[in-house]
Amino acid sequence: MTTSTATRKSRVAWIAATPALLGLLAVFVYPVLDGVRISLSHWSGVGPLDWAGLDNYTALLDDADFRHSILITVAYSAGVSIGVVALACALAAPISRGVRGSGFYRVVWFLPSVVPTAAAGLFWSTAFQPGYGAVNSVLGFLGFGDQHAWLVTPETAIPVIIVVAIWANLGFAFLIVLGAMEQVPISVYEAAGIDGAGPIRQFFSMTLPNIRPVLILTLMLEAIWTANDFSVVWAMTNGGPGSSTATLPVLIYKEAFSFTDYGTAGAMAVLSGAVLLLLGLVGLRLSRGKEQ
Amino acid sequence: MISRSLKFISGLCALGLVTAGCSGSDSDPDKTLTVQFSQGQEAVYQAYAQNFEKANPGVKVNLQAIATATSTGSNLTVITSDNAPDVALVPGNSPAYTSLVSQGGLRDLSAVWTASDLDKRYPEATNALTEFDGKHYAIADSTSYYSVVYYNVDLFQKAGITAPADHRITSVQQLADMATALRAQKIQPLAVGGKSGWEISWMLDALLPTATTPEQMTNYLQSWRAGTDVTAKYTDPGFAGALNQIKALGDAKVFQEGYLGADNLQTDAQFQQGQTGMRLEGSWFAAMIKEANPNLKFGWMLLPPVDPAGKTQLTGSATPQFSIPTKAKNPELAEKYLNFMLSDEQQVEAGLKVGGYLPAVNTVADTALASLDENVQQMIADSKTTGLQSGWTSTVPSTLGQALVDPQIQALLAGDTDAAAIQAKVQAALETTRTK
Repeated sequence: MTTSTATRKSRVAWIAATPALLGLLAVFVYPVLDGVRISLSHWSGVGPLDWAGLDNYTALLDDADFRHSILITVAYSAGVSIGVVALACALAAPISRGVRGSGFYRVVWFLPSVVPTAAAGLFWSTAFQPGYGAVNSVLGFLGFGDQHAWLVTPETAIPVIIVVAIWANLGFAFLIVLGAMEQVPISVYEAAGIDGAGPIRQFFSMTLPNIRPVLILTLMLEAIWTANDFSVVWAMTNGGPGSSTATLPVLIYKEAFSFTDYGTAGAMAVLSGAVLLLLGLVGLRLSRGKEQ
Repeated sequence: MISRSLKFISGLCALGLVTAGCSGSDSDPDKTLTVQFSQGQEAVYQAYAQNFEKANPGVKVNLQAIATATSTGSNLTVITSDNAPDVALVPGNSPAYTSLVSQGGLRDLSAVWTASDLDKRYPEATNALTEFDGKHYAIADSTSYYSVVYYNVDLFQKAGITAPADHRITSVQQLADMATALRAQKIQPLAVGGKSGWEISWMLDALLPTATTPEQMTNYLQSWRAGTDVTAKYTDPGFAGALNQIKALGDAKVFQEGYLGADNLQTDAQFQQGQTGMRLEGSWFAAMIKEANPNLKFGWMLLPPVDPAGKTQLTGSATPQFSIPTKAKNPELAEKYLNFMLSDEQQVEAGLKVGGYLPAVNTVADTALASLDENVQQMIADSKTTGLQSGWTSTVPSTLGQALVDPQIQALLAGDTDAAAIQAKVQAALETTRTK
């Protein structure tokens, strides 16, 4: 290829990419920069911004609610992402091996993903109410009592919210993991079978190592999505009692819309966005590294 | 000949265009009034809108339902945009209201005050609530009593409980005894929607005046304004007394199981279906019970006072919530709409008859109130003899009041904080509010 041909091709590529780049600037770069600008100011949502420098960021260092929220968000994100991927693997493995009724299970395990998250949160928050909630009714029927107040202390509320979020998010991870498992050549299992490995050994020694890049990517994506999730936590507990179950998105929402302190909310959003961006890059690096 | 015909046809077309332009004024966008209202109150505000359209032929009222959370937050951007509604929903105790007024986002409603004679027709407390720097920027369209303990007459009878004849529970122990008697019958006692937050802090509104002197209480209601001296601090024993009484109610197990995770609408439904013995609600709830379960017999009581020697008063609020944005396209028509809402006739026809709302103005004839539920009529009579207290969270900006203390009181009841820590936070917020 001559130099002039390469230059021409490069120019065409830039021209072709320009609309997309402009779109990216408009819908991603500009809002992010504007968010950073708000985080560096005091603003009540109306009128001009009042420049604050790093005040909002330094104030967050002393904010106990913010520190608590980070812990809650990490626990929630880790619990949901690990739970979703583990359960997706457990459900996808037999289906990928063609268990009887696998066509039916493919649909069933994906169904919760069709339900709007807010609706799922509302349904489950009712289900966990003492007395009349479906979960407590079942427990009562089994002789374990029906007056368990699951959502009133963080010790019980957070695990319950994690379970509900796993239920709501499972479908997508299930499809991705199933797709990866079905790409593992059947000859790998046949060879392992000849060597005497049973289905469980095959799963841990053959299936999981072969789909590791997909698992890491799914895990990272689920972690990021969950850390950004607002609707399940809001529908289940509103972040309460107090701020005991307030993840960062819930805390940011309250700061912006209950207290109209957009500067502090912006600083929280920028910090959490930076951490999640880092997490995403690590995930990409890990999944690519193994592929290479 | 052809030329004359063409001229005639051209003239006819021009006339047609002019006529079309004129006749088009009936559907002119200027004749469409966009009015926001609080989600869940559709029936009342549809009634106001329909009555206004009937009284003003050619005007179309376009109603927009706004959720509570939205009205104090993201609705700000709508109100200040070029697509601002003509009548906006801005709760007067929200930081959004303060921000909008201080940034010139709302119109001065002096013309409405004059036309509707609100200086005289509003109670003094309502006029004070709506005043900001000597002007008024929002109207209240109804009054309500809240932090009222409704009880199910049949369930009380079944549990052998006699409700106090004067509607006053005298002590935490008396309320705890009622709860114990109901639980013995496998009935949940006092239902509150703790997840929603605001119902929890309603109790503070009811109890604070019973823990303070009238002078202290007045100062608590006004000291957030920079021009008022602070004579009552939130770190004083009175505020602690009210908070500790709420904690004592929680410790005495007067609330239903799992109340901190309970949604207010679900909790309403439980009482309406006869599943709970008591329900903490407002005067509007009487009409809701009648609609949901016409056969339910119910009465009302007030929470026990902090100072046993004191006599609890009903807690009242006429929260201003309707404003006209500076960018409203039809401000004159919007003013006409607000005046219409505040007329005695519409206060009765839409507010009272449709929603069971108590009038915001004091010129509605007593005979019109006869259509209210008998419990609400008793409350009105009670407020006239015993007096009415203004709710603290309904009065002070929510960054000092409701938005701040709701989660704090939840945490107090959950055992995650104590009264002293809440007092310190509220006092710090007072100082911040005054400097703003």
